[in-house]
Amino acid sequence: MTDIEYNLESEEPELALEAEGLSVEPITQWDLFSARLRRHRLAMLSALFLALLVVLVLIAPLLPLHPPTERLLDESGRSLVNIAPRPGLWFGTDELGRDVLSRIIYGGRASLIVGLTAGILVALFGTLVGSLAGYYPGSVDQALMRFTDLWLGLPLLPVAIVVGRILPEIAFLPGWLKQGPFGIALLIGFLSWGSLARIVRAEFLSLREKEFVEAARAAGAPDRRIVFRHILPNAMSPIIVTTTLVVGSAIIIEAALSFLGFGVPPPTPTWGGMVSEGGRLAARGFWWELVFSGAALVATVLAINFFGDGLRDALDPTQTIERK
Amino acid sequence: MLAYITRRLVYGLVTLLALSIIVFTLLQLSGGGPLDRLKLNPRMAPYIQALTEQWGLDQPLYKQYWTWLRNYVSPCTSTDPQGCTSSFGLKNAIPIIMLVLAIAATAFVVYSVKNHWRGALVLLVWFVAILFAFRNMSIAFNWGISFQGAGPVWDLVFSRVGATFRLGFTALLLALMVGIPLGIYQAIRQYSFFDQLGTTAAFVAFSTPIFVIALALQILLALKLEQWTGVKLFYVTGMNNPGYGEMSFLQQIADTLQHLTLPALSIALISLAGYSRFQRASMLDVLHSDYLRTAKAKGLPRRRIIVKHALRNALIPIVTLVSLDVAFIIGGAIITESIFGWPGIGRLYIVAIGTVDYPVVMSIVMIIGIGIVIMNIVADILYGVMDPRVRYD
Repeated sequence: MTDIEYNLESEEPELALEAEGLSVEPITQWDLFSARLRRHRLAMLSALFLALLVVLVLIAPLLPLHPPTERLLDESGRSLVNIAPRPGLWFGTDELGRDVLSRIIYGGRASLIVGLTAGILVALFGTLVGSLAGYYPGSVDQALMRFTDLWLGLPLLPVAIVVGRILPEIAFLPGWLKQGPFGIALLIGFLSWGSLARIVRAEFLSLREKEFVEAARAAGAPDRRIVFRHILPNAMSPIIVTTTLVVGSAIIIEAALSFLGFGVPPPTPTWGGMVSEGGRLAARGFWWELVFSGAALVATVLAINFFGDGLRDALDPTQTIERK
Repeated sequence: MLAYITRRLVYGLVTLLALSIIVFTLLQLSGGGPLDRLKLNPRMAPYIQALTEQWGLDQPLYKQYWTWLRNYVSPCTSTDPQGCTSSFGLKNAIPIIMLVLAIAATAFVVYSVKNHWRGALVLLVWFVAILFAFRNMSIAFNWGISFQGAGPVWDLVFSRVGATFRLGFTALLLALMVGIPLGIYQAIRQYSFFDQLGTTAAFVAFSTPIFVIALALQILLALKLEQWTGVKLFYVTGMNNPGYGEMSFLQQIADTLQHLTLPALSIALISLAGYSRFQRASMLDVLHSDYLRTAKAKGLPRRRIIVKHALRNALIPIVTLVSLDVAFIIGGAIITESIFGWPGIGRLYIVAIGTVDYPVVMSIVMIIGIGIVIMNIVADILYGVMDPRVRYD
């Protein structure tokens, strides 16, 4: 141990420290968080995978791919139906002669749109309901929580199936809601905000009794400032982690709806729809569509869950930087 | 305690009412309505008007809902014009008698058995009571007639509830019997290779949609296994083979297992992963608690500490998880039944939704809702029975 005399009395203590060869760059919460996240190798790998997927899905029209709904023909004009994977058609073709690779990349659009939209929706709505209930105990809390309980009591999949079935037929909805993935995303989001609301409420209930909130209130801070400046930042960690998990489960629910035929209608490619079609084909020996679409689905959800796990660890301030 | 249960029952009823109103309204929003398919057939034209009037489809929405609700909760009598085949009789008393007997037996068990078998005994009593009541049930409710000409909805649904119950219960049992020991073992050997492997496997299972698991099992273990080895270990579809009635008892068991294993396993795998994670966390919690350190400091043998001190307390929280999992298992059953051609209410539900068969859809949604509400209440009570620290207010 070497003793360093800090000249704290000097006019510029930072300069004095730098003169001793010590850095005075402050370590922010963000630095700690990103350092912890970077140590989580699986989470970083998952983030990389997800980033790659997002880019692929965004630039899909620029890639040298067949359009996802085009029925391919060979030189002599015969259709290329159920072609096994081969150079040029790396993932093979399906029973209508469409390129499976292209369909998987375009199918990722539906999955990612549903996952992200539902995630944002749940984050906003769940946080709103949960924070109102947690910050205003009494009748507001009671009313909101009874409502949340009721919502959580609904059987998710059966209700989602009913809505998915009738969604394209509801007369007063605009077309982009009826047919596209956004309608499914809204449906899933509105069915799954309940658990986040409960978590946020519990966070708010405990945080609003903390000394620093009391201090802010004593200093005359208005409710708005207390909530947005003092409580919400401290409740961010469970909100972010839960939302990440919701994104994963939304993708699974969308796939399940498409699998059952009540999701995004064909010919728009979806992973769930491809698994359903691929299952029928695999029974006849054409395994590739099932394997590749199933793998895309599992890999994406797995990456999201691993990333969520990494976030959970990295956002936990009690966690030291060293990981086993 | 009684006040608590009453309050929970009231909440449950409100949830069920809300569920019925939501689904009823949603079904009305569908463009065509249940007679859509008939309209395609020109010869049906004269009947459309008659059917619309007979089923009350021309009445205002709230009246239709009220009619549905009133009929849904009223038992069939011999004077009912439609929706009923069986009538109210003396045999209808059996479920009520079983209910009374089960409550009495529960009270007896709770007051006379003070050790850890109490929870298991209460569960057993209710299981036997429900099974027996179900087997001997001749009561029927007026759930209407299928719009697709499949007969009274009560008969339609109740001939299939047993199949779904068999599938779901097997899956639950499988998940519990594998998941809990797995979690306990992982907690005892924390950070060992096996623990890491289990954690990763649980993550993968958690991220895999149930239909991918079901299809993979079906194609690999049923189709391909037979193609490659010539051994027919599992069947791809159905609940029993056609000649089931003539088989010997052992053959019947084998046949049932050959059909049941794969769909049950598909549902169980994801739940199993959840249970093992939860059980591991709960066991670790207890293993790091103060009283366990005391037990260690006293010099008790490790085996005794784990089995007698840790395990019994670590098993309590999983009760809550299992009850919340019922909704998931039912959802899983809907998907798996469609894949494996299982003749349960899940597959019926998908078919009925496809044809907008209002009475069938409503009845199945309500059965699922009732099942979830009851399981939640049962779990809360069981939790209190098993953990003396819990007090109801």
